[in-house]
Amino acid sequence: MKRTLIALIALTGILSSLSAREKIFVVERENSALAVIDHNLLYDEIKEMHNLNHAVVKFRDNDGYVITRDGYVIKFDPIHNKKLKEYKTSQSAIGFIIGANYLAVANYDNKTVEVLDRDLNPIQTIKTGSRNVGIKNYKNYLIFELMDADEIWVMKDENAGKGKPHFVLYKKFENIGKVPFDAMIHNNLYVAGLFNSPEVGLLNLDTMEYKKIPLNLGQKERILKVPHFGFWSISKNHFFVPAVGARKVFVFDHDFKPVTAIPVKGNPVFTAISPDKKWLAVSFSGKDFPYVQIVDTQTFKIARTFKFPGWILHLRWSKDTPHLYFSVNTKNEVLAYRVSDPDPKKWWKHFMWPVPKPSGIFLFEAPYEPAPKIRKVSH
Amino acid sequence: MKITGSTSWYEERSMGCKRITVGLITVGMSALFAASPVSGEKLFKAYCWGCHHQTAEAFGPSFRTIANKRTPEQIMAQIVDPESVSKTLGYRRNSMPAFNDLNATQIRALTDFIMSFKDKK
Repeated sequence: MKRTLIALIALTGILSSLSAREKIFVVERENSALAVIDHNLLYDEIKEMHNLNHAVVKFRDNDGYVITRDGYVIKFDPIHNKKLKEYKTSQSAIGFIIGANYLAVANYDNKTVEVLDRDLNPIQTIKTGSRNVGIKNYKNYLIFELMDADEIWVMKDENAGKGKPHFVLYKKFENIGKVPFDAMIHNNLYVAGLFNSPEVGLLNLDTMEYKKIPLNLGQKERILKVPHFGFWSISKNHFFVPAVGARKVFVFDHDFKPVTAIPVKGNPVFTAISPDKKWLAVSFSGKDFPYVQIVDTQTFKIARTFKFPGWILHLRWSKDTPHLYFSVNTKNEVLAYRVSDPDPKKWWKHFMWPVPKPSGIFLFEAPYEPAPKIRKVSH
Repeated sequence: MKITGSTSWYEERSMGCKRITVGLITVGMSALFAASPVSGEKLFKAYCWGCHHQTAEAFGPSFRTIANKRTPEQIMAQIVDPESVSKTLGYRRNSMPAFNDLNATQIRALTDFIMSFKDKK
């Protein structure tokens, strides 16, 4: 009996140590590189990644993909930290989406949406005549906004997800509001951010009905950075939407009826909700770049205001451990705050990794691998 | 552009140009007498960087595109009054806020920084 118990304890230990872990990839904005933080160590760098200003990294299965400011799509191996292939889709790309058998890249500069297979072989070029943003997918649809034409296009895969996709225009929504700049998707709800209209657009992808939801922005302030709408923030009962040009975060219920507007420190850029949905982290632009506020999602009150010694260009909650990560771009640091205490005022700096000019933080659920003995990078 | 009353599109455009010229003379003269060096790159990072990239199209056009397409005077005018100047320059609409709180030295420094991305012939 005693021997069985010891064996069981040992087995549990082995299994837990063999479980997947969170690996952090950080965009080095000025360095054409991705920093790799693994086992809480700044462990590696993937280099020759082109112009990483505003780069986006996504994962599907064990594939990593990056799009770059100068229009490249790069496939990399996030397990072995190795660049595999690149393909130039345009002069300037802004967003992309990964389907089971394709990638679709929204381009600014050549006014197209480019569809590739998962190995970056081109399949289809969709000419739109506009810069394209807010690219998402739902069922066999590919949805994106035409920033210069104030339209949403819903494309449908004629091959219904089998083999290589071939998208055809299924629905076009015109006059959706002025200058769509980003979008978020929740189930069948596609939400369009509108830069020059005091409203958000709401497209129901099941009924294909579009409506505009008015926003009380008040006096619009000068915007020094376009908010990131795609950083989806949804609690059990609410949507949190950063205001464009106002020091507010709007709160809606799940029917998109307005609940309140939370006054915040500055013009919000990112609103990110914690995995337990209790806290909303909000970052800002302009002179408020060094600040991050933590909002209680039940009371809508500010629970803590962080002031960092540099600009916060990105933040992200860990999915696996009680940490909130920050990219302090002008201090060349990525920080991890321990957030296990129920009082945000007691959250504390747990790790600091010296990453040069960090911006986007992206998380990959990596399979088991023993902790490295030697770091491959030192800054 | 919509034609209203008796003012033709051309007249509106010309009037817009006059306004820009007057504004530019003021800015230009102030810039001539400004003494302290100001970093255009620092101003770019403080004010422009969220929407413009040096060489790639972003939410706004790249500095390379602007430098190859516009004169320094047009750039200075656009920084100060983008709402009306963008129309004069032929844009259908404008998303850029006005930076009319920058002083002449700053506007000049920023313009010089933008112009530094002009292709060499």
